[in-house]
Amino acid sequence: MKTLKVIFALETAHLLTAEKGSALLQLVKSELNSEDIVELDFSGYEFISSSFINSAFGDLCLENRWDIQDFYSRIKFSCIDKDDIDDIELAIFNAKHRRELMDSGKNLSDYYPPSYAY
Amino acid sequence: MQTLNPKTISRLPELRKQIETSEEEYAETNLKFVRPYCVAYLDQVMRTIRKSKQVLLMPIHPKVHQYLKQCGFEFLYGNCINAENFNEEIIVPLIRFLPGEHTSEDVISWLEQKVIKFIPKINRELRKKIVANLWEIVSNVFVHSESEFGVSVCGQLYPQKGYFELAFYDEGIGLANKIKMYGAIKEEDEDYLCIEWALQEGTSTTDKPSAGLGLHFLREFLKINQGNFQFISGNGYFGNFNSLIAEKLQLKNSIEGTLINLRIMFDNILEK
Repeated sequence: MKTLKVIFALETAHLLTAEKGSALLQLVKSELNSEDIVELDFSGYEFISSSFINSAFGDLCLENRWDIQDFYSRIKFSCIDKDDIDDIELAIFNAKHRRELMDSGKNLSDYYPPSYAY
Repeated sequence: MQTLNPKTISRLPELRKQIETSEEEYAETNLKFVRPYCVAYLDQVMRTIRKSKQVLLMPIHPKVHQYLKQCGFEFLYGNCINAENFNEEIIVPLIRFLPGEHTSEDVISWLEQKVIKFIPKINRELRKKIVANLWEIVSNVFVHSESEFGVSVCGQLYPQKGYFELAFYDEGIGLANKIKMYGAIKEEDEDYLCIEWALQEGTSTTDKPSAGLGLHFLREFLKINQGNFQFISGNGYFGNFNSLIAEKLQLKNSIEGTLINLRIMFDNILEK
């Protein structure tokens, strides 16, 4: 199992922007090529936003067609607040829902507005 | 202009029209009270209008002039005499965040230095979430609003009334327009339906598989805090002023862009 120290890898304790989330996604994908499990160590982080979470973990689940069990079989977390894990799990749940809608050929705009995170 | 409510918000476009149609180098206004949402609104409006017309604002009431000046509003006509200074300790001066110019670090730094002290004592986790979600409001403007002048933000603590208000306004495309353009809500439907829809947890993105967490979280926090919020876009008004039940209304006059006003009860704790 490889441990990735998130704030060192991203060079910030503010995990806020979608760009930083996408950067983490790329790092995780790269590690998953050679590792069965990647542990994300969040020690030292100050803030985390839904934009970041969506771009990192929502997209990871969408790309890999993962549900929450698949996700936890490959990704572990440490040093992260419980509330933030709840938000990550919501992103994973929504990714699954979105994937199901896409697979069933439904029009996503009937279900999701444009990319506003309000 | 007093507390933000459907009646007062409908007066903002009237004020805008008054400024736009002024034939002088100044536009007089007889506003007797100004709140942070007016300051943020006027900042964006004046910047837009002044692209084609060098008009300034001339409040008749010295207190209004003085308040706008102390908030950092730039477009005042003349000087104000005999007006008492407001306590600057309770004002979060007007600031404008621009995509490409301000980073998330700038916004967070401002939130920590100027805003968080007005939010009641809360645990570390909640504080982190509030900061992250306030950042998200600014971030949405950066990414989606297409607002030439970014987003203007202003705030004030009201010690006697026991609350703190923080307002965000951008004159961009507007949430209601954006959602209708996308087809999620029909063009002929009320704008407040767009706001209501976007505020639901987890229903707010297409490109990303989650979200709706930004204002949704703040809304939940404000329910517990017994504060309130107003969200205006187009002619849609969505808020929970003085009530746990959301008010959804069609306003008499539309506004450009998106206005968000948050009222947080500060519980008599003001940390420096």
